[in-house]
Amino acid sequence: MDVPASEPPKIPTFMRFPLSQAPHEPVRVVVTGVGVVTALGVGKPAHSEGFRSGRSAFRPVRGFDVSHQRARMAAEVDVPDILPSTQLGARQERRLDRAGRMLLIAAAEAWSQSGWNTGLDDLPVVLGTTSGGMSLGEEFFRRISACPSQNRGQAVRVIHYQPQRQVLDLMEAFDFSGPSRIIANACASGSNAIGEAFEMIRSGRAARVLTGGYDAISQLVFAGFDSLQALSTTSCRPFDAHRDGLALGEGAAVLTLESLPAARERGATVLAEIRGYGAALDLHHLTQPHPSGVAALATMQSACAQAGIEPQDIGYLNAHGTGTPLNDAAEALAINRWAGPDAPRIPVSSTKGCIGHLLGAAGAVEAVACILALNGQWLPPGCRGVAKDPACHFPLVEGPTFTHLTHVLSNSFGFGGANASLVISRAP
Amino acid sequence: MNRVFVHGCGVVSPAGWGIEPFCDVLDGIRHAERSALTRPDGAPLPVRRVPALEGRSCWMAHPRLRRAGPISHYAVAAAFEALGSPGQWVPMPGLQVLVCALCGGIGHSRRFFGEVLAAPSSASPILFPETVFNAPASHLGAILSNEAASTTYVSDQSGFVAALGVAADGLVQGRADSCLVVACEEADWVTAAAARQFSKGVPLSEGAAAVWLRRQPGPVELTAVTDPHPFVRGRNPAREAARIRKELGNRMGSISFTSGIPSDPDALEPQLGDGLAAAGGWACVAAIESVRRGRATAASAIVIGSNLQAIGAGFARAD
Repeated sequence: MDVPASEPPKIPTFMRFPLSQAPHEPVRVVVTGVGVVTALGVGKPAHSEGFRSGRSAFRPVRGFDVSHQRARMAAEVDVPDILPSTQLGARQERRLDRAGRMLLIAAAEAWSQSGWNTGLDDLPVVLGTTSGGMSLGEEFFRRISACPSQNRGQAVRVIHYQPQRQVLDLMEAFDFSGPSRIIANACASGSNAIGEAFEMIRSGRAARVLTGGYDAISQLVFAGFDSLQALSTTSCRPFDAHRDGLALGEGAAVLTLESLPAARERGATVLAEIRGYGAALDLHHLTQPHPSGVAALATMQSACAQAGIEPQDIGYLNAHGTGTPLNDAAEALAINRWAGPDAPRIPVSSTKGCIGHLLGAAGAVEAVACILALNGQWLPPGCRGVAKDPACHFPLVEGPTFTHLTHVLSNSFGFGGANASLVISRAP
Repeated sequence: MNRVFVHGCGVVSPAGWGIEPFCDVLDGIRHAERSALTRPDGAPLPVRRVPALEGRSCWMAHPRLRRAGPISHYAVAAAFEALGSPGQWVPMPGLQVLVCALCGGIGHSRRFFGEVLAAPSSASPILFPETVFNAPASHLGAILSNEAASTTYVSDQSGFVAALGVAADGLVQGRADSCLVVACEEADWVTAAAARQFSKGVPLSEGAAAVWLRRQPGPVELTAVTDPHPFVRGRNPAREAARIRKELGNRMGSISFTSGIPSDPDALEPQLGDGLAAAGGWACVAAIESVRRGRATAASAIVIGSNLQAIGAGFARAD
């Protein structure tokens, strides 16, 4: 794709109060590039095929020993050995952990599609993650527990365990600089990141933002969900009446967001528009949603209100749909209440039935699934052969389906009560 | 509408619980005690810890804090002090809460992973939920009965100042009526051992800081939040600190507090140690309090993070 190199006007991030500028009229925010890595594969073609067909990507866990755990399956990524060409040197690449590598691959795909130049001085980056380079943190702990006085390699593990390092790696890989935010709102992090990036552009604080989410499966997190008996010991079946838990996945998704005028001015291809973002806190419990899904309802309502659309306008809802008894029951109630009489007309699925729960990456990967669906005009199935929970007043997408889509809604809910919803629409 | 005022601050630090002992330490009236955590092989790791709380505050009885780690206790205590409440809280619609951490609930994480390595099938399900970065924000939201979205940012010491910028922008744009920014950390031997890899002779410390911002006039005004200066393209932390000082300007009667340059005469580290994310908050509270107490008409906080960026904020007496 040949995109003119013109840059949007620099918007100062330095804030001197009182601010002299009046609050902006809302700016329309569009997506001009996406990149994605999950157990379905690397890149958009693999995910268009995988999401459209509802291909399941689970396999026995290979990354660490799970022989003493209740659950043994996850949607692990075969991370490519060769990384895309960026400004990172070979030594820097070697130091990337699994999560950092997936993030870099997704970012390279999104960056390439966007046509953005390198060398930007004021490009904000907003990422969601729950655990950064956790595998390195685990290795640091194993080594210091076993041989406390041996420091070889420990400093590097400490540095690269932290998400700040992964942000700087992105800046160095694509030679840009700017404000950064790393959001750790548990499993809503990816959606929160896109939502905050959207708000930055919508409010006129930035012309473009690099955003997304990433997380790799780690032993600590796998054992954590297993200890809570939240992992399925059979198969992850969101909204199935007999569901018995979630399955973990891993991956990364990165989106390049920019204002519609800036995208049009440089002749960029617009993939989709972010129209609305809602977020709320569920106060019920640290790990359990309120049974009636009040916060989930609030996020769906506020995202749609900001987008200026009604439930009847939503052509597909990508549910959080973890497959745990409590989440899906609360979310089903929330969707029923939000959609009201329109519920039977809104197709719903959870792609976690195919790629697992990607935690901090989930919201971003599912946003990409929605964008691919909008571009291809199909619905992503969840898992097949589901005995639908009678609590669901809405139809579940169970097989490949082509349709007409204009607006979609994506839900992400997390530990700590972090709830977020995004409204994504076809390119204007 | 486009001005932002500080309506309250809260601190938990190695000096003690509250702003008074914090300021006493800055003034040299008292000292924060040094202590040590112990590595598995018995090696001592110097730290400055938060002293035990004398008495019992109302908020401590909240069921959400029953299993929570020290980080959540510090966050809640600092938040209540900033909000001017002893613990009886009336929900405030439109309150946005932003929480910053670098290590988060490391004590629970270390204990849980230790159990996983020892016997994966019997690792405690009580510990794991408290390992998530947003556990303190979740508890704080529940105790404040605040259903508005809260956001947890992972960052280095600079995170608190960056979050002040996010909060102020949200207030000016009308996305929130008031905003509470909190930074919190807890010390553990594993973080002390990690910090020792990069030690500049500064012991690890712990605690929290909170600043409550509103649009309604208050005694101290937030005057500026600088551009962040990420440590890329060969940028040097000391040079970035100098640039930030220049950006903030030298107001008459202005004083500054720094975090991240232990040798700087304005540094807080010699008295308080490196409180990670909380350290950036302490620098801001020190600047705000110096203005509020009439010791300066303006003050700045310049925070050099350990591994992400440098950033600064300015405060002044509201006219």
